[in-house]
This record gives sequence, structure tokens and C-alpha cells, in this order.
Amino acid sequence: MSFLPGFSAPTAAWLALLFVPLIVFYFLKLRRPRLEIPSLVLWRQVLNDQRVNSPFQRFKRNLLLLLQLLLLLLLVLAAMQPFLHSDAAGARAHRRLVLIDCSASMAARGPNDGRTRLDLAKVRVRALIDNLLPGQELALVSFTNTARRRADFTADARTLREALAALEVEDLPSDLGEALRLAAAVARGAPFDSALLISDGNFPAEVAADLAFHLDFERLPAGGTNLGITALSARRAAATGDRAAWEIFVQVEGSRDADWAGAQVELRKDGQPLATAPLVRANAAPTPAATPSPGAALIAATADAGGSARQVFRVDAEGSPTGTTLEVRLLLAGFDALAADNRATLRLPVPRVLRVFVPPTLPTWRRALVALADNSLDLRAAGGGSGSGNDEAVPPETPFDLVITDQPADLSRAAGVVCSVGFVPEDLQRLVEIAPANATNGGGPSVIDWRRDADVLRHVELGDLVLLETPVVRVGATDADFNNLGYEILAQGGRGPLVLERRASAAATSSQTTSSRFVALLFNPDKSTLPYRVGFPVLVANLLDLATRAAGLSEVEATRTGPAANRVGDEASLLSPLETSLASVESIRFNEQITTTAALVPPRRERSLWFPLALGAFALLMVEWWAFHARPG
Amino acid sequence: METPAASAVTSLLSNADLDRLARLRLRPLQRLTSRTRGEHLGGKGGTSTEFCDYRDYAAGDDLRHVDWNAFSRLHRPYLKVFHTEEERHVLLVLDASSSMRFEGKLSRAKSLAAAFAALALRGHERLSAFAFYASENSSRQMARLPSCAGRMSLRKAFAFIEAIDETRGGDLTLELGIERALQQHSGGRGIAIVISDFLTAGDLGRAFNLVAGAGLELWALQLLGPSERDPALAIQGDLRLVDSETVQALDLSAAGDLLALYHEYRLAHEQRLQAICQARAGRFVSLGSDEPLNTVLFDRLRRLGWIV
Repeated sequence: MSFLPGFSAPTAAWLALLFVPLIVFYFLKLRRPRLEIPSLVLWRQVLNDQRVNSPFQRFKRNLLLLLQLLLLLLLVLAAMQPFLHSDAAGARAHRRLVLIDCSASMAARGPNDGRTRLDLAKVRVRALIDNLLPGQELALVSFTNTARRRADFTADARTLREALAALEVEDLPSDLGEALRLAAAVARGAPFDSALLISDGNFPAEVAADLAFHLDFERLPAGGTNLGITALSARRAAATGDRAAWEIFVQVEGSRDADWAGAQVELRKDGQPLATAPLVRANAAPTPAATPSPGAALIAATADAGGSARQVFRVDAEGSPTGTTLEVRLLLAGFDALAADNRATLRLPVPRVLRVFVPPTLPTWRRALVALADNSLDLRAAGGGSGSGNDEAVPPETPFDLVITDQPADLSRAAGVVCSVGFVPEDLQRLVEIAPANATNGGGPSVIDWRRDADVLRHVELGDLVLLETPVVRVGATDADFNNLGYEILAQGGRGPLVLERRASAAATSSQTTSSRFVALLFNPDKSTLPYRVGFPVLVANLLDLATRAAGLSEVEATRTGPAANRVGDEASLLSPLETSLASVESIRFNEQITTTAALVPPRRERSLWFPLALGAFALLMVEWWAFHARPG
Repeated sequence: METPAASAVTSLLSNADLDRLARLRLRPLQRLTSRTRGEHLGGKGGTSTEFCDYRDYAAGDDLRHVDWNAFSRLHRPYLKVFHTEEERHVLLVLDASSSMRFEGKLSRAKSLAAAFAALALRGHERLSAFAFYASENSSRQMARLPSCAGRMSLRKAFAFIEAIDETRGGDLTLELGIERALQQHSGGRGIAIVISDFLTAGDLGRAFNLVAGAGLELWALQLLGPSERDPALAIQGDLRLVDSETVQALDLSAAGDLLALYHEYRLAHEQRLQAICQARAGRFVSLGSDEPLNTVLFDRLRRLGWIV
């Protein structure tokens, strides 16, 4: 760092010529009070004394002139707008982009001052704005899991301060990659010299982004200790067969050295307290028993040494025709830095039967469904059925949770899960066709391999399956072509894929189905040995399980804050283990092995000196006034 | 000091002070007298009736003073020597220049001069007085009381001293004033009482040599005002000091810081004056113009042995 200041307006040095008229006028206009005394004999001797004529005393004899010269010097220096140089590379930047973290962890308060991390960030950015030199511009970008430009490059301190004041913490996790991508986009339109990231460092240490500019990372001091709810979900308690019984899973995690003493979890149903249970920690002393309640009960409480505690409640949601809202609150006895993660809500759906559509042409499937689900199914078919279900005619627009069909026309039905059986969907017809299996062409095994961990094929044994018809890949088609259409091959036959699955995101590009999951069985089970295998009812059960989950009838997870809700409340919850942990990274690694290390204290920047100089001039003026006018005597 | 009543002999001294002064007299260090007959013993033999000593006869001695009874017994001539009683002269030199107009210095000088005049005239000394103002060589610039003696001259002396103008002022330096006073002095030996502030840059040694050469014992009374003894009372901050006599100016900054030096130089000046006077068998005392007259006359000067 150079200790010699720079000057933003060196031409103001011409004002130093004012020294000449000042000195001239001083000696021309100096008026001292005249005092007639009997004789100057003794005073002349005094003034001729060497001690009076020392250099310092000479100055004192013209103290007023000296003060006025010093005052003018300070004013001239202030007009030249001096500033102290910095040792930071980006400090001399003329255009700087400031990235301000506004994620949930920035609301963490310190144990002593009570200020949030965002408050501290604002203080630092305000210092940047206040010390803007002529020709320097700032732009402000705030980010959570998305980034937003708050102020374009400007030197207008008022605009920047207003944009800074408008910043608020949003209960969202942070995504530094989004911020850097926006910064890169800004750089393309308005190039800047460097970017400054001001954050508490609560994000992953590795960011999958290319760094096309210099980035300074200014890390804010960590907040206090924190406990928060990081997971909340519900699963229908199927063991009892009671549709209204739910098992509520709550996970609580904390920051390092968090105070767990006296922490409790309170469960509220539709705003009314339902149960309260103390949190248990691994290797901790036994905690008091949960408060019993007629509608809820704590059935499990576990903890691990990693700093998390889990509790499972059984809740009776009966008698709620419009659904039930469960709220979990964390009751803490000690200091807690972050309030947003102390509350989470969960919406339990209205209990209902699973709506399944299976055409009468698939009696095997229908019998398996009836046998598996008993009374928990509303089984329907188009144009009459087999008598084992509700087989009246079904309009095409009727929504279903599961559709199993061998008719291509039924693929357009609205359903959570759709399974086509025995035909090739239209979008796959250019890749695969169904051909009879014969010993000449398919001498090998019918099924080469299958994904045993796939939801559909879990516990389904296809090893000794015999097929009468087998899908055959057309000439020139490859696995990549299936992937390009969004399909994943779950089971591979000797001549082509047997089972494929397409997720909802891929389905959006296709107009054929409206389901969230689409499973295509390119062979007809009725023309195979599958119905005679144990794997068939398991396959049907897997499809039922998928449909139940897709309908939210078996498992429900709390809605996380996101595009629909940026704040905790309105049935959205933070539920971010990273944000709750208040962990902080010390360096960020980007692509191409670029690493940026955090600085805990703000790097030295150009510091404008005009204000201290002007303040000094004013103080000097006061001293002069006191010394020559107001001093007693 | 008592305020002189309307019936007072002089406005300069109260009658009570005059009464007390009547019982006192001046006490010089040397026996310096004039040739003229008076009531003070001379330094050598004279013609009074009081026998003093015998001495051997020498050719040319007046035979009337030979003690013939002794000659008849001893057959050797001896001369009888008698005390001589001569007149002593008191010369009052009063500085009435502009520097004495401040803070009642001239007024106090006049009171002291009146007291010394009373002591001299009641003590059978001959008195003459001078008061000087400006350097112009004219009679207007110097007042003179011709030599006078006897109690009858008291009123005349008081009138002269009272007539000294306290407002006129002048620029005559002390050494020149003393020189001119000696030029007009009748030549009688005795005491020269100089009352001034002695704030002069001139060569006082030469002037005092003239005084001693004229057969006068030098009594120097320095009168300083309160602000001269302690300038902090009047001088602070930045000032332009103007000399009351020369009208020269001197710019002073942060005068408060120079006060210690001023005191140092004032004391050194007094010590130098004391040394000059003692070197010429004279006396020196520094008085404040605000000191009570009674204290000065009947305490300080008596303690110093100036008057008894």
C-alpha cells in the first residue's frame, strides 16, 4: 500500500496561489489592539532574548498567520480530493460489481449486537458507496437461489443507497452459481474491472461456473449458534389400514456448538397445539417424556453424533374434508441466530381412494390390482369391464392416478403415472418395432439386463422371462436416440429395450402424454411368462406405489421456499440443512482450478480524504476563533 | 495614607504625616556638606565653638587658634581645632516625563518629593528641586525650584511640587534630565534624590557619575505601577505596544508566554540599578506606586535607614 495519497482533482492545486493574497492581506490588514505603556525598554529586551527568537517562538509570534495558512492548505488539499491508495487489486477499479448474499443465512444475528449478517453487509457496501471516487461506479446484485440486479453501474450515491436499503433477506438457500452467471451476463453488456462478493460464505465450496473476471470474496463474521428444522415429511401409516393416520417425520439440525439444552419440538394441527416433545441428542442424558395428546403421539426419537435429531409422530388426520395443515415449531431455551428455520408447515392431503384406469382388455392387470389393493382402489375401465371394478364408461377428461393401458388413445388421459403395455408409443415408433420372437433371431435370453434399483422394477425378477413378442431396435437407432427423447431404458432385451421410463420434465416436450411418469412396457405380458412369475404382482405393486406417491396419498413433503413463496409461512418452509448449519466456506473453487479465498476484514480500498481534511479545517477555524476571540483574558 | 483635609498645609501630604515627618530627618551615608555655614558638622575642622582636637602648628596657621596655655606648659605651639557646621544641600530630581503619568506614579513621586522636601527644610538643609518633561531645551520643559532653606520655604516648596503637571508628560530621558538638573544646580554638596521609574535605555552610569562628581550622595527611588510589576494584569494575547514617550510600537504575540521572561528582565534591571548606585556610594530602592505612602515613609525607608 502506498502511503502517498493520490488526487482526484489535481487541478485544484491552483488554489494554492491564494497563499499570496492571504499573506499580503495579513500584513496589510493586521490589526492588533494598541496598548500604550510607559516604556518599551523591558519588552524590547524580552523580545531580543534568544529564547523568544527560537524558530518555534518565531512561529508563535505570527500564530494567526500560521493558522490561516494551515487552514487554507487544508482547504486546498480537500479541494484536490486526495485519496489513499489500496493494496487490493480490485480496489483501483473504476467499475465494480457488488454481489450481496441475501439468502436465509444472512438473517442470522450475532449473539452480542443483534445485527443480521445482511446489516453488516449493508454497512460495508455503504462504506464503499461513501468512498466512491470521481469516475468510479458501482452496480449492485443480490442473490439467493436466483440473482437479481438491484442497481446498474452508476456513481450516484443516492441511487445506490436506495437500492441497498431495499435489500431484504429472503428465506431461500443461496446459489452462488446463479449470481456469477448473472455477473457474466452483466459483464458482456457493461464490462467491469472486478466483482466483490459479500457473503457469510454459506454456500458450497465448489461452484460450477467459469470465472471470467476478478472476484474478491469478503466474508462476513459468523453469526451465533443456531438450531433449525431441516426436514419435514409425512407418510401414511399403511400398517393400520387407517387412511387418516400419518407418520410425521421431523429432522432438526444445528450449527456447530449449538445449544440443544431445553429445545423442544411442538406439533400443531390447524393452528392448535397437538404435541410437544423434547429433542434428544446422541450420548445425551435422558430427556423428559413427550407431552401426551389424544390426536398425536411420539413414536420414535433418534439422534446421531453428526448433530441432527429426528422425531416421528403419529397423527390422526381424520375429520378433515379439506385437508389438514400441520405446523412444526422449534421451541428453544437459548440463543438462536436464525428464526426462519424454527418453523415448518406441511399440508396433508384429503384422504381418498386411488383412481386407476385399466381397460378390460388387460384382465390380468385388473385382477392383480384388485387383489393387491382391495378397497383402496377406484378401478375403472372405458366401455365396460370385467366386473371386478367400477367399469362404467369414463370420459377422457376424468383424472386418474394410474393408467395402465394397451390402447394408444388412452395415453392422453390425465394421470400421475401412465403405463403402456404391449405397443410402441408413437414417439418411439421410429426407433423400435415389435416383432415375433423366434429361435432364429432371438436364440439368446429374452432379457439381457434390467435396472434393479428403478422404482418400477424394484424386486422384479426378469431373468427367466420368456417372450412371444419382442421389441426390436430399428436399424441405425442407438441408445442415445432414446435418451434424446427423454427415455431411460430400464430393461434391455436381446434385440431392443423392453421397459422404458420417461420423467415429467421429458414428457413436457411430448404432446402424447400428460403424466408425470410414463412407463412403456414394449412387450405384452399376456404374451410372455411374466403373469406367472412372482415379479408380476411386484411390478403392479410398484406401479401402485408410484401412483400413490405421485398423488401424494402416501408420502407428503413440506413445500420448500422457492419461486412460489420466498418467505417462510404460507405453507412454505426453509428446510435447508446448509442454511441452518450457518457453515461458512473460507475459499471458493471454480472451474479451471481457480480459487478465491475469503477475507474476514474488508480489504483496504481507496479512502477519500477530503472529508477529514474539511473537518480538520473546521476544527482549526474553531481553535483560531477561540485563541484570538473567545479565550478568557 | 490619610486624605489631606481642606485645612491641610499641602494636598500632597496630610498634616498628620507632616507632624510625623517633623520628628524625622534624612540620614545620608556620607558627610557631604557645603562650605556655607549651617547646622551640619563638616568633614573637617571649622570655626565653631565646639572643640574638636589639637594639631601641630604649621607655618602660616592662624595664630589666633594657637592654644597658648598649652604652649606655656609644653613650650611647643599646638593649634586648637573646632568642629565646623556646614550646610547640606538636598537636590530633588523628579521625573515628570510621559512614562510617569501611568498608574499614579507621578502623583506618588510628588508625595514622596514633598515628604523629602519637608524633611530637608525642617532638617536645616538647603533644598532645590527640578522636574523635567520633554527633551526640548526650553524652560517650559523643566520646572526648577531655586535653592531655598528654612521652614519658611516649606510652602514655597510644596507649591512648586504641587504645580508639577501630571498630564503634560514629555520624552526627556532620565540621564538627560539629571544632567540638566546638575547644570542648573548651585553646586552645594549633599544628597541628590532622584525619583523616577528608571525605565530608560540610556547610560545611567554616566549620569550617576555626574551626580557623585557634584558632591551629591545619590538616592534613587524607582516607582513602578502595578501593571509594570505584573504585566499579566494588562497584557494578554496579541498586542501592539506603544511607548508613551517615543511613540514607537512593538508587536507582541502570545504575550502571556513572555511574562516569565519579563519578570526576569525586570529583576535584572533593578539589580543593575542597585549595583550602579552602590558603586557610587548611593542607595536604591524600588517601590510600587500602589504601596501606601505611610508604609513607604515610616516603614520601608526607616527600615532601610534612609530616614531616622
